[in-house]
Amino acid sequence: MVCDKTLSDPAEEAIRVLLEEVLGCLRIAGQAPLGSRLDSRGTALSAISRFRLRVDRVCLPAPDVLLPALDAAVEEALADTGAKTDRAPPILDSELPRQNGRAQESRLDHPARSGEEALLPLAAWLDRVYEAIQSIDARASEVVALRVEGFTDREIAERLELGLRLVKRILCDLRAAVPWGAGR
Amino acid sequence: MILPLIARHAEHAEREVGRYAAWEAALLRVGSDWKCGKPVRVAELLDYVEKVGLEQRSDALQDLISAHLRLSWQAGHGQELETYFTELSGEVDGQLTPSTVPPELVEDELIARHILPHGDLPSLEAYSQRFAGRADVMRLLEGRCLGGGRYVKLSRLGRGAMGEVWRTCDRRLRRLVAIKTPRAELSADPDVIRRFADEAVATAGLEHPGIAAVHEYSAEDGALPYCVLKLVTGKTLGERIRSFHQPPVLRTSSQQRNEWSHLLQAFANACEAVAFAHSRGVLHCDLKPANIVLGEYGEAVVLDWGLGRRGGLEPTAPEAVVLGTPEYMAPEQADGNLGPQSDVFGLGAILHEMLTGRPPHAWPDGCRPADWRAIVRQARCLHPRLLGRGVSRALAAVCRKALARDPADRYEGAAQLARDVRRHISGEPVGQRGQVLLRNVRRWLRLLRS
Repeated sequence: MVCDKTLSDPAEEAIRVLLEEVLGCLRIAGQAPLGSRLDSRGTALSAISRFRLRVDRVCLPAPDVLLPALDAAVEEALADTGAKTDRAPPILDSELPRQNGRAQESRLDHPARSGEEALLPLAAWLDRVYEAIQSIDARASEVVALRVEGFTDREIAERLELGLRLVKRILCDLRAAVPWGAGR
Repeated sequence: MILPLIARHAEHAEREVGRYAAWEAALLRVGSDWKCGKPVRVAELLDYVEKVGLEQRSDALQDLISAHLRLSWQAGHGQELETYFTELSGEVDGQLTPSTVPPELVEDELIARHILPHGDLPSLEAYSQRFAGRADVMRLLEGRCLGGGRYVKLSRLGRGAMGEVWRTCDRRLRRLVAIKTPRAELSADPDVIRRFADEAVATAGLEHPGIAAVHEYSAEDGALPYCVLKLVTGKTLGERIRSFHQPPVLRTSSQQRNEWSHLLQAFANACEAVAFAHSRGVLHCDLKPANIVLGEYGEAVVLDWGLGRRGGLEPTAPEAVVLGTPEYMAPEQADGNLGPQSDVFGLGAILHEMLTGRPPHAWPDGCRPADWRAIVRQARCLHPRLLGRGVSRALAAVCRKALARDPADRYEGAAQLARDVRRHISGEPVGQRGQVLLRNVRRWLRLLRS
């Protein structure tokens, strides 16, 4: 995408906040004292679930690196606190957005790894996302920020005084620009 | 002064480098021309897309048709889509005919024709005749309608955890109303539906100028239940507080004093509405500035009684822990214990934001931490006078009492809080400070005795 404007604050901010929320919860799940362990684990799972729903809302396929990385990190964090990992409800497959069944397959393909190991591909993926986001123009970043907040295409068009088809085009370009898959 | 600015903005958008700059500029120019009193004729839309690249032109023209439909019907001389078919058909990919028109354009027409409820309001049957055989079009239009086509949803006003509210046209009574429905993805959850029905019944029993009146509730088999409410147009208290705390670049000090006085009056009115609800056994449980709308006639209306409790003010089940907004939540609410004092805390939290520009539980960097419940339980709210410059001592004391950690130390009810705020507005001394001193002396005496 050709554009003079380099930084897209709202979009970058939206994704940064989402990821920090998830990673913050993971840290808490890993460090929480025994008494509040279950509560923390529940919060972490809920945050991850929310994160996935929001990713889905942007109409972008859930990245096949992100999901197993998060799953493994949660398992690892729970194991650190002494919780039985088999008791931990794995991030429920049925309640999560799935694209072409890829996420479920990838979960089976990725046995539990150490938390750090699991987060490495996540970090690499984040780097690629940030690079891609920096090439998005200001208008597109406004569109994606509203999308992350849950607005429909029509509502985004009304709020930004754009046309419905223009919003759809911008989101379509975004899908092509951001590397949402592991190997792409 | 404004019009040249709009025109300049349009020019600027055109010059701006960007893939869709010409498309965006065309949309902006159509809007600004209408606002400048230059109605655009249908055939002239082609002139606006001249500078748009060929690959984008068809979609851009459809966006212009949407904008033109809205502007022309709002101005009272709109035309049906068929006019656009005649004049622009060859310019859009796949031709514009009743059998090929994109369904979204028909939806645009339906919305545009219902923005002014006293205009010509076509029925769904009329559309099914005009677009015979277009099941996709009718599916989309039916999704916009409720109550057998009586209500046409125009735009979503807001969305909460469980429901959403739409600005809606009531075709039968030719007026705009608000319609609340459960979120579609939760409509299969019987608990959500039960809570939604409870809210409708609870709100319907609250006939007060500070609470949006319920006109109708419908829960027919197989259809999404909905609740028709009075439409309150205006800014939320949250928006007004934000604009009040912005640097006063264009406001004089007297304008600022007036604005503050309006905010305080609205707050007192909201307290009285909540007090009325309490007298009928209904708690709100989610009081925050975003849930209070200041109407165009100066009225303050408390919205969103979706988390409210009725039929007694006893503590609720632990499941209620997750309900409410943590930034404004009473400490006991984080443990699922609710009472009128929880709402008093919520009102105190609103007053705190009015005084300081931020809620009592404000998180670092604006990100809510995962352990927010522990923070809410501690209720360590900073003194408003430490956060805001020139905060009145009396109001700060009122706010502190409403935000007391122990519910027993707060106001007995919202009515007492409203009374103190009204006293402050009329320049009378607020009894709060003396009472706090007296209570502290009593505590010390009790401690000494023990």
